[in-house]
Amino acid sequence: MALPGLWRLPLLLLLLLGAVALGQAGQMNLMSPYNVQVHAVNTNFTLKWKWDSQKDFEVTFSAQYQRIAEDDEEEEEETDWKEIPGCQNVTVTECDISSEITDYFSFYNVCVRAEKGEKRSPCSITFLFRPYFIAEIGPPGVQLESIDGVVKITVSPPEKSQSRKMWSNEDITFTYNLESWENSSNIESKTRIIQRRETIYDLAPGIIYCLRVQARITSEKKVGSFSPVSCVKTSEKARNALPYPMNVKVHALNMKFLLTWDNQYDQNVSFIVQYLCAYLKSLQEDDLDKWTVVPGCENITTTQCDFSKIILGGLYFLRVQAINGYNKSRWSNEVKVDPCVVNEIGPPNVTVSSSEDSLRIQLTAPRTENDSISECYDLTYQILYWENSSALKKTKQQPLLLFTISDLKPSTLYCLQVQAFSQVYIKYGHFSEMECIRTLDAKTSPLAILTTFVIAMIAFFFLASVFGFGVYYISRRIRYAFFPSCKPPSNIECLGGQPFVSLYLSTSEEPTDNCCIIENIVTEETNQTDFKDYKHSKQSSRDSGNYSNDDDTSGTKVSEEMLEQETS
Amino acid sequence: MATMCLLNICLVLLFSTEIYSLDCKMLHLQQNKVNMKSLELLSKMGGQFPLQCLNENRNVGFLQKVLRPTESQKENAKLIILEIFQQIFNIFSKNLTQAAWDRSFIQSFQNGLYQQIEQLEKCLHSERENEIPYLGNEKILFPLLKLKKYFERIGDFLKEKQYSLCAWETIRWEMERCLLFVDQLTERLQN
Repeated sequence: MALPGLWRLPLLLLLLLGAVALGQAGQMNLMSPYNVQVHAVNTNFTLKWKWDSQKDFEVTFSAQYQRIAEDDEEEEEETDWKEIPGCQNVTVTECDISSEITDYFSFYNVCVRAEKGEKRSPCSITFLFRPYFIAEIGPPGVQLESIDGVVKITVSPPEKSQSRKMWSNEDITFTYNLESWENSSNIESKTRIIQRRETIYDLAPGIIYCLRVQARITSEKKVGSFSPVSCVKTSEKARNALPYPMNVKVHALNMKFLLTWDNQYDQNVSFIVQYLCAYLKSLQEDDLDKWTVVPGCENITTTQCDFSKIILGGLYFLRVQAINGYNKSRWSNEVKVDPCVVNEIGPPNVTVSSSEDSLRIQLTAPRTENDSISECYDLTYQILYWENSSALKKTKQQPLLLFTISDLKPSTLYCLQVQAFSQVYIKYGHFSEMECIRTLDAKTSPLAILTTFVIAMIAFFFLASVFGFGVYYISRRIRYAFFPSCKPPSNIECLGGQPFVSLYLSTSEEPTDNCCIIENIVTEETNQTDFKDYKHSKQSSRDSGNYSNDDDTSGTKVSEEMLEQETS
Repeated sequence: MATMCLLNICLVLLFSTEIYSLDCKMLHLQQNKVNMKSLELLSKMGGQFPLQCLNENRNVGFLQKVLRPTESQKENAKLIILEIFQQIFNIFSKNLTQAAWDRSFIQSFQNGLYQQIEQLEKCLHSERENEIPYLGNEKILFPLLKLKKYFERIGDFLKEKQYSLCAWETIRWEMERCLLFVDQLTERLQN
């Protein structure tokens, strides 16, 4: 504010005067209520405030509110101030504002003013709150049932029968703290976390057992108020009743699950085993009809039941009943099964080979039906190995199925065992059987042996193939030369009754005479016989041939050709 | 048979290593498995998205829009996953008669979610036992509120459509997105 200096003084004076005037008026007016707060249990909101003046029955209070809504982009939008219907002209210092609080996740602003006749106080300092954050959890409902020496507890969520709910998915959001004690004894109360339906076993008969329950939202660290204390007398053990199966336990190896129990019966007794998916225990409806018979475990006479087939992920409850004719025992204590936790991991399959200074280990994961083990664990493997003569054992861990342990001594006996390990469940599997193997001698390095062998093999095959090919080639050439597969045309073959022969064969029966032609002789004996003339002309025509007649092979060839020409 | 049983018991006793439950530091590994399995079951239970439902008004918004993965820091990633799982569990506990989905797959799906909810609660409980309640700790609780609002809208959508086949198919499709979002969050559990 850049007001000129001259203007400042009168302005200040004016403000001062105004304040004094207001102060005088305030003495006449009513004070505002203070310490305004909202308390909430479930969806019940109570507005409370304080008012200091001496009891003045003529003073009444009225409250108003404003909602501040946010959208997904976190932009706020304020509504106008509205009067709260149930909080107009009330004479006490609290009122119920539940009807106006409908959006539990938005902010609300509330304020209260005092009124006396015509006078109205300014509205108090506002109280800003987000209903969900200030709401407390009310007490849950508890139902107790005492049958056959056990106490069955059924807890109902704090807002069970209400249409408006602060805790929207009450079935799964709540777990409950159970505080229980025996009424007559001085033993301190026990506290534990339970689900909506819980059975308390191992209680002495005929005692009074008391408990109270509070709801909790573990994730938000919210704990509600306790239910009223309820007590129940445990029932006496019924006489002549068929005892229920005891010591019910789960054994599991490589995802094969076995339920076992003690055989304590003299008579002919059969058993029935039932299971329940754990999530059904948290739901509204009663779980009585949800228990299902484990296939293959109905009316069995053995004291064990294989229930691997029902395990499809998740938690389960199991229970057993003994039956003798029409006489049925009560159901055994329920056993909760977390398959991945209870399962024992069997040994992996191990194959070892050795070299001079290392061991190579090939593993196969523990075998299970339909690969269910991998749904629980990402296994790593731990190898325990040691020199047979020493007690010092070393370990190695890795997630792969192929191990190499190097830097070992040559020609030494090493032993090893392998076990699988699940990091998530901190669970070690069973050890494989001990395998012992001797590393190879240092002099004959297996690598050297291997390379020599491989080189020798390559050389052998190379030579063998060269030799084989050579033989084949030569035989082909020979066959081609001496026994050609092609036949000459029949007219050639049959001419003069002379069979066709290879051109390469020398014809011994047709030797060619070595002839010399001396030109001057011919000129001298001009009057010779016709025959002589003929011969002469013939010889002259093959003049050049005579000169090259020294060469044997070509000579024979040429002579052959000539012979053929003559005959044709 | 009895000897086999005895042998089994002996084996178990002989090799029995202490049975622990899960290590919360390694939760992300197990969470990954649950995410994958749940996604698989979700797609198995109903098969292809029916063509006649393509025109269905999907006015429920997207979780990714409601809650950006960056908003959830490491400390409340577990909390957010737990909230999402609880909300999905709650939705699939509603009136499913018109959905015409395979009951055994729904059961496995719910049972798996339930197990993980218990697990996450256990881990949160053990980690935060000595911490003060979050009441008023807006930074931690604020994303939860957004989620609650979002799932409230989904609940209202189903109610409004009277849990019809197409409404359920739309929601199944939307829940698949939720699980993929959880998968992104799971990475934050790792460090």
